[in-house]
Amino acid sequence: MASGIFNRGLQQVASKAAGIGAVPAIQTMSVDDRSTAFVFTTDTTLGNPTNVFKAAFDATPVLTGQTVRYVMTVPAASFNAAPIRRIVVHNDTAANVSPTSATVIAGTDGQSFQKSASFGVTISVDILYTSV
Amino acid sequence: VSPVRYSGGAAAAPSGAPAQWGPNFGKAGGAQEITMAAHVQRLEYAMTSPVGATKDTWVGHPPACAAETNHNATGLQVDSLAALPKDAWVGFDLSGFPAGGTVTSAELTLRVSTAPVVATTCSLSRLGDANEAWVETTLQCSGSPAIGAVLQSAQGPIPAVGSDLVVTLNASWLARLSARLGVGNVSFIVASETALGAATFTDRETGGLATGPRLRLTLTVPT
Repeated sequence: MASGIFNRGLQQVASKAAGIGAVPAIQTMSVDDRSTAFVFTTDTTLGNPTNVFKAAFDATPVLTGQTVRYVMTVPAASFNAAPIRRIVVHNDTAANVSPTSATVIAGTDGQSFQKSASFGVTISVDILYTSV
Repeated sequence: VSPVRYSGGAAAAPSGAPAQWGPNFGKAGGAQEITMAAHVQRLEYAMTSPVGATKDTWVGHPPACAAETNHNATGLQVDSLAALPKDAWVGFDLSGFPAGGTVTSAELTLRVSTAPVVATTCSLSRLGDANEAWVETTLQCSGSPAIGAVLQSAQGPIPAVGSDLVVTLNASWLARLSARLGVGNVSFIVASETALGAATFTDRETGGLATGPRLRLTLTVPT
């Protein structure tokens, strides 16, 4: 598994920080069942996975130090037909996020979580922004 | 980590440079260098509602096997009576959960359907991995798998009929649950700890997700 920020994400973050253009904030999280690993340098979309669940964050993301925590809930009735394999945050509204929308900012792949209709799950993603 | 680095001295802005950063960034004569990276540092799943047991029954405690039969349809009895001790066996399937994860908190809930006459607390013992495949419809006292270590004791006291015994599982159980993520079943062997402290919990066939045995987890996974 791997996690990272897409080059598209870096550009969006930089543009947002610089106030260049009308760049929307990161505001949606998705889970999908595609087992293909991300290519963070070139991917700009989810790559059309079969099953996607997307939703706005449960609350305003929280910044602690250099880490931002994003939280989304997958309800009990949702995403039970396939395992959660990838988790991504997007800088567009949930309505505008689709399996092929160029909205990806950061994410992680290689997950394996088969939920059931008996329970919902709240997913918290901490993204650390750092210099290297 | 996926860094992007733009260094001065190049004849032209490097491939992949965001257009918004301007055409001169990183060109000859410039000394700018920006290195930026981000990654998912932590990923957590917190169940908003519990998962139900996938199997449960009660079993006489060997070698006191006086009531030698399968008791799958008669609630989850616990009894510390020396002549006929009874333990409740409750199993949950964790095979769909992420292997390699770490359970950071967990809660086991049992609904009381018959309260003890004498106040009593409960202990929770584990099974060995090789014994996790027990079958609720055939399990009986003799030949039942060996019960492993008591991982948690003095839970309760068992409350009144219609109330829940809610156990916040300790570090030993969190380790046990973590080891079973993505693997399969994990069992709780519930025993009464006080003489004459008999009680019955609602089984999964009767109570389902509402009042049957329930397990709720929060876990973190590698990213």
